[in-house]
Amino acid sequence: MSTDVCPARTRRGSATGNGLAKHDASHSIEVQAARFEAILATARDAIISINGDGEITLFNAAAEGIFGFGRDEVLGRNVSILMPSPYRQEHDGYIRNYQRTRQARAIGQIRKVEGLRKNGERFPMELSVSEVRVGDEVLYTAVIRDVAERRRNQRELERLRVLSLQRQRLADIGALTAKIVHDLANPLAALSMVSQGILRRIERSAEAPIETVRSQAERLVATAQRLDALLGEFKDFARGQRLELQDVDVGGLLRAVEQFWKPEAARLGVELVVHTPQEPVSLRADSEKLHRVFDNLVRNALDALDGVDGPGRIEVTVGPIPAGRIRIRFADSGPGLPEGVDVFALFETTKPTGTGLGLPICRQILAAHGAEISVAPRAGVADRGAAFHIDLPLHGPPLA
Amino acid sequence: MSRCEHISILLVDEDAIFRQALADNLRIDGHLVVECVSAEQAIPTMSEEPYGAMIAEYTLAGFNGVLLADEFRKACAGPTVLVTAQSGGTPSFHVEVRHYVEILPKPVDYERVHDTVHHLVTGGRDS
Repeated sequence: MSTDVCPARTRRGSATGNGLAKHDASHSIEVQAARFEAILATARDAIISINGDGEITLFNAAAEGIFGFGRDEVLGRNVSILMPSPYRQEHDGYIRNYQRTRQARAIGQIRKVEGLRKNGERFPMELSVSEVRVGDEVLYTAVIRDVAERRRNQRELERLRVLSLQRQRLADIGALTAKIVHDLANPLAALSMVSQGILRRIERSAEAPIETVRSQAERLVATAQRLDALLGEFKDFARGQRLELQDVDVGGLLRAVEQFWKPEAARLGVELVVHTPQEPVSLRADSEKLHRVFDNLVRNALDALDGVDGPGRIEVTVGPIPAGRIRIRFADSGPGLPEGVDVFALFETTKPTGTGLGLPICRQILAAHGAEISVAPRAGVADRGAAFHIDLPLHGPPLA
Repeated sequence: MSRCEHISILLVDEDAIFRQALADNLRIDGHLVVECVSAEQAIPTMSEEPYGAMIAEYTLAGFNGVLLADEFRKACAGPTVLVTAQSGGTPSFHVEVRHYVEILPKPVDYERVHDTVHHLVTGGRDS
């Protein structure tokens, strides 16, 4: 900012006599000077003025505190003593260049630069420079804020944030390991116990009834398959989600889900109603993975309705929401979800035999699509049961 | 394996394959085994017979094996062997020690389960 300033005027002219007018003018100037000094002395930021030759003409109390120099040490000296290299060597050139070309680099902007304290310490500062002309004299005034402490605090916050993330990751790994150990131990225990039973029967009688051994062997196979499925879920979650994107007809996908689950729903006395869009809606997605998410939500709804008195209902609807997205809602008339349960948290399950990975994997798949999933725990069909909302972008995930 | 008289055993575990396999093994050795799928089923059942011992999973829906062992102690005055897939380091597993409860980790060798039951029932009198 550049301003021309006129000398101060009195409020009254000299009509009533030169002596009184001069006294009034002098008093007014003194008052203004006192005000000016007070403002400079109490400002928290450093205020430094230099002349056209770069010599310091004003150095307030805050500047003394920030730079460590007393005012008398710096007045009349080149301002470059407050700058580290290479700025110290270049500053006079900047001033000359500006005076010649009037092309401002620092004037009128807030810049982040480095300052140099008396003790040799370099520190970060924010600097704004203005230009003022008083008569024939040009003055450049800088307002300077020492941001060293702010930067230190920011670095410390970032360090603590990274540490916290690392600790959280370690805690998650710990929880995951404990979960894997727990979930694998049960089927392994079953495998082991069945195998021991077969051996003990054979040891007791080499002619053990084949049917007894066959049924034991079938249990072995079933348990191995259960282990395999469990490992598959863990692997799925650990692997993350790579998508094979294609144009997917939302209505077609939902009709396929409906067709698959309708027999099971009918067996449980549940009405499964899927409202597909009247006009075709296409979105860029991984059809197989999206299908899996929808299957999971319908499966969970059926589990919630299993054993509930009275006819159950699951409704699936599609609706637009702004900004190129669609919302697919899965609602049921079941008992809803318990308060305070985050069903998307790792290992959180309301089922006695659940791994607690189904919904986290769904969220993982949807996040890879740039989509979001949320749940209203008791806002399902007729305000009973749970309602899951999936907000999907029509044009696929954002580019990485 | 120690020889022991046949014991009437209450077996409680939600995992059907493990429970049935353990029951089969116990029956091979001549023990009378009554299976329950839950604590809810086990509590009234334990009052129906004077069972000699209970074998139960620590983690049961809405319950835990130690509390069930207490109930069994009141009903039948017998010991309990808890088998569990839970890691021993988790806070929920820091249970108060009871002289009538032994805890074995899954997967577990059948002979170890059998010998532990025998030891608790006989107080180690047979050696």
